Amino acid sequence: MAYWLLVQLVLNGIVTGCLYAILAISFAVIYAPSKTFHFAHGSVYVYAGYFLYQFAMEWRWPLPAAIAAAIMAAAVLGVLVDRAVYTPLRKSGAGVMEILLSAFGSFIVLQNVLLLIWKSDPRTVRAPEVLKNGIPFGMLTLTPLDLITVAVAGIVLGGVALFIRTTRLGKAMRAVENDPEVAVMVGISTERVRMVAFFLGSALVAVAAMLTALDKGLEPTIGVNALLIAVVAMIVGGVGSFPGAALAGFFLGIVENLGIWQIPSEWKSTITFTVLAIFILFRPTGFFGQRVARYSE
Amino acid sequence: MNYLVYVLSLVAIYAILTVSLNLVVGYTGILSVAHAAFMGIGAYTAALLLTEWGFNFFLTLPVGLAISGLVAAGLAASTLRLRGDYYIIGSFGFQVIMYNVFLNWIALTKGPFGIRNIPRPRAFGIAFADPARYALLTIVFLAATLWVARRVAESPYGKVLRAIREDEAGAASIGKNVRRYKISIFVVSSMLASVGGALYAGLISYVDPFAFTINESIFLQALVIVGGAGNVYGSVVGAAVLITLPEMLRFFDVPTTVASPIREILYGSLMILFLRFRPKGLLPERISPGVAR
Repeated sequence: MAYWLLVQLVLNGIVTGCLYAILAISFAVIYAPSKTFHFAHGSVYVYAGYFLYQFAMEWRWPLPAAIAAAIMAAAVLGVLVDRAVYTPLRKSGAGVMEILLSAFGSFIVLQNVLLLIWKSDPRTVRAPEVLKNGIPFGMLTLTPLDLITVAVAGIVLGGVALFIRTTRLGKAMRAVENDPEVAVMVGISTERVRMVAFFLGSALVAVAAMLTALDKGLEPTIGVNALLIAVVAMIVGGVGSFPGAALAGFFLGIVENLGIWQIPSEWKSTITFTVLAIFILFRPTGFFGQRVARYSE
Repeated sequence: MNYLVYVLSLVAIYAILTVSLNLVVGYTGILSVAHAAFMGIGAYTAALLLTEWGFNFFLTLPVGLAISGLVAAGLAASTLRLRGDYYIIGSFGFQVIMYNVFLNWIALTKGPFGIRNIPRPRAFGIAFADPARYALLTIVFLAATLWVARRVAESPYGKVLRAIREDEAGAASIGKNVRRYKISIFVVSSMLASVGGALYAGLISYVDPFAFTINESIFLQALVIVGGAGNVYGSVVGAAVLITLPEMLRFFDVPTTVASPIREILYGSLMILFLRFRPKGLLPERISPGVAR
């Protein structure tokens, strides 16, 4: 019996891990070329969920249309934050610290505007019942929504990999990531790459928000945890490595679910952070990537 | 009248918190979003020792100082090894965890209900229950904090901190142990934050986890930026302006569900605007003669 429970927890972990992998990639897509620590990414995630709520529940649009519109709206919001806050600051010669502080400011402003619009009570987006009815596989159960999550993660991660490797824009993103000055010399517009990165990253985080909104519902504060997971996965995976980030997302999902076996679920983010602490101390390069620790003692 | 004195105490407490954060952010150039966690450690330590163990308020302070100092040393030693922006994750994660501890370690902290009926301090036969006396007490502590901060900032030690901010590799190349400087200033700053937290608990007379969220940490950053990073008096001005400004909302009969988001939007956007148009803040840093830039 306990054996089946363990397998079930690993399965749940894989489903959660798919969600986390999307979160990790969404943050990495923005961070890699722009080197902007986009703290307000967590807010874009929450807004995406509330856009879906607004379109599907308040305005009663059909669910697929509402999802598509919410993803688009979130992507535009992400680009707007960059254009309105980070880009002017960067052009006025501000350093990393000032941009990070302005990202905190944006996070606070966005979160509280959300409170004014949608108030603080939890919201649910009604999904068709069939999505949440468990399908038994022997002793194990999975819901159709779980299977959709896995499929969506597969499509999203595969799509991003293809985009980065094969398209001109994707290659331009990598070029800007490796050496922005040389990228400009060969005629790449770094501004355009930034915009694409913010658009794509925000659309991806919105995809994760759609899956969460349909499964667990919405609260104004869920962005902080989503951001924590995205950032930790990026570091544990190795900064600069997309496959690493995705893999670390899976890893965190599984660790977290196995943790629930023994530890109450309120301590989830503590587990996440403990994983990070262990990596920083014992494997500062993450799975694959550059060292993030400065001192090599 | 009592209300004015209350606001005055609040300004003094937030000035203590801001001045202490300024030592790390403004002087040394280390961004930390864990200041509210250390404020919370001080507040909970004082609240628990006062209500459960019947400690005197002034005896809770050394305990809070010791706990926050030890925790800060551990956090700094492990996370300040991180390069570039990544060390911010250390303080971000720590802030999230401490909030979870305050919220979920119900046996100790009573979770979301918080700890209520915290008695006002008394010592040497003087009760500080009277709001005016309490305000005076907070101002005395603010003066002490300012004294410590100025001593730190103007000493050779403080000059090394600024050197680390301007050029870390340069400071290391002239033989300064950058890591030790960073850890020690982070410990001092966190200890001062715990005093601010204890005074906060005494003023409000209850503590709950919702006062020590990441938003509170960012609020303290905003106070540092608006006041002026690298100027201790700037932090006092920043706290005075950003605490009293939203208090005006009280006179317009705005319901709290609207007033508190408006307050946060105000300080969030002020922080962005200052960074963009006046990054030196209201009172810019003054470099004393002898400090070469």
